[in-house]
Amino acid sequence: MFKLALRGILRNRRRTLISLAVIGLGTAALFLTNGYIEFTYLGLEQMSVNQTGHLQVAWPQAWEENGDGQQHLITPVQQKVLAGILRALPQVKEYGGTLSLAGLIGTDRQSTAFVAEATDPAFAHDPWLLEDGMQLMPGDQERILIGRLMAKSLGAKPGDWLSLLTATADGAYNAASVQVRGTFSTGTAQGDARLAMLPLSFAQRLLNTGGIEKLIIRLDKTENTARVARELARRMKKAGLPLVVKTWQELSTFYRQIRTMYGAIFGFMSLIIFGLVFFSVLEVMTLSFFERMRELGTIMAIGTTRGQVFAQLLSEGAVLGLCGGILGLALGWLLGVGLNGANLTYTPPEMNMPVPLAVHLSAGAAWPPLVIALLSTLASTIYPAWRAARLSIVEALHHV
Amino acid sequence: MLLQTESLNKEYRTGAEVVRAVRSVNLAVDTGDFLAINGPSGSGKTTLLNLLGLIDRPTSGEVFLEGQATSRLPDRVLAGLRLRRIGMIFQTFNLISVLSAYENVEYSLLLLRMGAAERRRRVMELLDAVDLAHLAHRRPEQLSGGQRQRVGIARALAARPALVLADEPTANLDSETSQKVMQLMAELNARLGVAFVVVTHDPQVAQFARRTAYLRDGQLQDETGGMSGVQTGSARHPA
Repeated sequence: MFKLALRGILRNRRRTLISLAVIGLGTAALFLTNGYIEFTYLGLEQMSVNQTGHLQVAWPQAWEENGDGQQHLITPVQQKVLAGILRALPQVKEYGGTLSLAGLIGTDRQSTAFVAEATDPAFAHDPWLLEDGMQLMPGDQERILIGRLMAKSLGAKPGDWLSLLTATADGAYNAASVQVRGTFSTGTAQGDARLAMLPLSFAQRLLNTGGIEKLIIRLDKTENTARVARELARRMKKAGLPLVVKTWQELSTFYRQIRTMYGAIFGFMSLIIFGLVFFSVLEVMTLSFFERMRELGTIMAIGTTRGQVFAQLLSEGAVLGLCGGILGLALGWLLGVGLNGANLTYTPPEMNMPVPLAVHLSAGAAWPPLVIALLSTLASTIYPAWRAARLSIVEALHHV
Repeated sequence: MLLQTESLNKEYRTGAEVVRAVRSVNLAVDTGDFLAINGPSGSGKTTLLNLLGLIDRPTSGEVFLEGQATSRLPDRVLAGLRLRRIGMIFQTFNLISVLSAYENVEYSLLLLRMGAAERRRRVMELLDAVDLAHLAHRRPEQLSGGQRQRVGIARALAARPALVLADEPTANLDSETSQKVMQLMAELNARLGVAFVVVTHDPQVAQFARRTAYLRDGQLQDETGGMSGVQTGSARHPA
């Protein structure tokens, strides 16, 4: 049947070539689009995991939009219990506490509002790109990293001292002098103007607490995230901890928004390509089967059942779709290799640094376009094949 | 009895007019028979052959194949009977253009799911019988008309049917090739014991049959022109 199907589609080579070109170009376009989306997802996944860790543990209120994280801190006792649980999970690579604080920072001439994230420098994961100076080091106390636009507005550079004013966990004011260790870029103007990073122990001293707001956990592999999250939640419940676990996917709104948006774009493009292939191949198949009416009548006259005729014609559609799809993937792969080799970059909206314009050429990016090519070709073959299989044998034999 | 018809009728409606293509035909074909159905163009020969070959259904009456009434059998069962018990030879050869002579003969054996070795043996034996083994790899367009019809005969015999139906098998051949093709069919009929029913308007072709029936205006007539059910006659194989 496969041989007959292959020869069937080679009868009219010009027509078959046109069909293959439509299917191939559609598949290549989808492969490249999907490859670009996969590449973006991978970058965003890496960025999200860098920023949030794979998992976070905290009181539920810690993630509430208007919640005050400092009112719901993980106590030193709870931290000890958590540490015991985490040490027993082999997928956990490392973990560390964080505190967030907000306030004013400035020199004797000017000040600005800031939001700071405090972590243990030994655990720090350098989520932002260091532009000037050095990272925080273990043992650092009155040291701070500030966003590059904040440094610019304050006229501060590494080595300079700034005054920092914040409120303790109890609501009292506290102030300290901090030395700028370095400046960093978050990629967004808003982040660069407001964000700062502090050593955790220094932040705890400022806030007059031994607690932490969140525990950030990094795993050996990103794909272990969901499994470890379930296991951790189970063990915390068993230990009587009133805390919750969130994964990086839950925490990264931006990642989820991008996935939804790209998913819709890919779905829309798939629909267009599906329609394009469907109508092109429908016409080709209808013409092809009409031209072969006598042959179809003959094979039915010599004992082929209508079901077998339908299956045979459908297999022609499948072979055409498969060949077109594979050609399209090959074309898309070549174009993708060329694109990746060109090292192109672009600056997305709201970003202040360029990102690579590249495609991720993987099986994961290839199979959806191939399936769409195959399905659209099969769908367009069903009706002509059904009609051909319903032919009156006598009429088909007399068709000229 | 291999094949028998009982008051077979076939009517077509063309607009308001009803055409009675086959009228009350009673016909019997026995195993190993060679029957020619002769008649002028438009006499209903092909319609009758389509009914005998189970590719068309009668308006009324019945076709019995090996004693089994066929007019109410589902399409799938009729296809199975055509595949296993009936071979078809066409006026315009009707070979599958994208398949070689070998593959055309092999086609019905594939439908029968015959094993590869047995299939190859059977196809080569048949191509050898029609003297085309040396052209087995050729496509239909690379064969002459006579050669194509010989492939058609081999294809008709591939599934070892009990009955072969031929519709004007020599109409597209020159007279010399026609004689050779008919000679081949007569030989295969004698050698294999397969019954042949050949529809033709050519009186020369009828010479090769054991019996001849005449069809006029959809009605079967005897050789003398009288109305008759089943024609009988002596074998008239040429020397």
